Amino acid sequence: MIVQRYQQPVFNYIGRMVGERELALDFSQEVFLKVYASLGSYRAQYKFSTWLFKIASNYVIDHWRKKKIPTLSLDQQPEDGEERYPLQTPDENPSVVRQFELSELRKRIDAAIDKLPASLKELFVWRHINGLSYEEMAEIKDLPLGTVKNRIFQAKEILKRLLGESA
Amino acid sequence: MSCFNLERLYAYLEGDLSSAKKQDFESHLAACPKCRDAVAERKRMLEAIDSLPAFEVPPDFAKGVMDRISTVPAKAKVTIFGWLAAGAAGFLALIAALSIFTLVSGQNLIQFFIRLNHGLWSYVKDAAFMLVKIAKFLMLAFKVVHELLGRGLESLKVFTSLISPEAWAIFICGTLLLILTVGVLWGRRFWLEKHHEK
Repeated sequence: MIVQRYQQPVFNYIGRMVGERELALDFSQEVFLKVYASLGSYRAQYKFSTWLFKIASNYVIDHWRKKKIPTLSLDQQPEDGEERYPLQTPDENPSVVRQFELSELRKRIDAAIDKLPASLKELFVWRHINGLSYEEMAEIKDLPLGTVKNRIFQAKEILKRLLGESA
Repeated sequence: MSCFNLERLYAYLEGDLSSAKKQDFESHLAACPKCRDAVAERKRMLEAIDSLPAFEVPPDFAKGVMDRISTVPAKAKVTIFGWLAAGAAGFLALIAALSIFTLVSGQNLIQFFIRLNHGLWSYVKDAAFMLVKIAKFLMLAFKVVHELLGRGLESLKVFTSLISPEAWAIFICGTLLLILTVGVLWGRRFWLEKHHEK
């Protein structure tokens, strides 16, 4: 059964994206209803999970648009000085990550993920929470593979910076 | 010894490097404490991310979804039998309506259809006449425009035959000179304005 098979990944994705459990439950239900209503348009040549995550992603983006939460389009370049991370060499700063216990580190990472820009957060969650491949993400978002890899790399470095700030 | 960039570092951590590149990277790590620290730090961060607990789905979630799906009206699928039944029902309804009309109005049904047919035919004839008139008008308009353009071209030919090749050369050179002068003046004005702003 589709719902039972995909409820956990969809709920994980939406939960991380909206940050509220109850809202995430409502959204996940709506996504499955949309999936049910659109089953006729599903083409077997695509992976089902890819198609499902595309519907979920559109649903979350619609929610942000309605709430007027600023989202960075994946097609545009990030604002200068805010989210662009040039391919630099390892930093000189002392370790900020290793000073935390694992449970403390998880808590801080949880909070830091919430602060990621929406479009980077989505790719990051798919990669590290849902375990999607770069190719799957590129297909869902209709983006070049290199762009997806670069965005995830940026997300990780922002996360590391946020962990440093919270130390 | 120059350090690798962070993209290479993440590729190493995710196991995306070819064996040659991996070997290069590892030799560098063995000699560079700064990069070793950077790798260790990011490795720990990624391990912590990958071990984040999943959002717990309530046990009745799937049931809730299925309950809601069951309240969504299913799209009716019309079979061939359905279409035939609908056609038969429509035909019977028409027969019944005509019978009632005949009984109530007391008119002969055949006479009624003949009158109806005459009425419809006169509408069709009127519409056809109107279309023919519109077509005639468009053809006339096309002829007039065609004639005017032809005469315009003739006049132009006569005019150009009166001008000698030398006069043409002078005209073309003069035009080019005029364009050049206007361009230079415009550019100068623009340059002066820009300097004035500064």
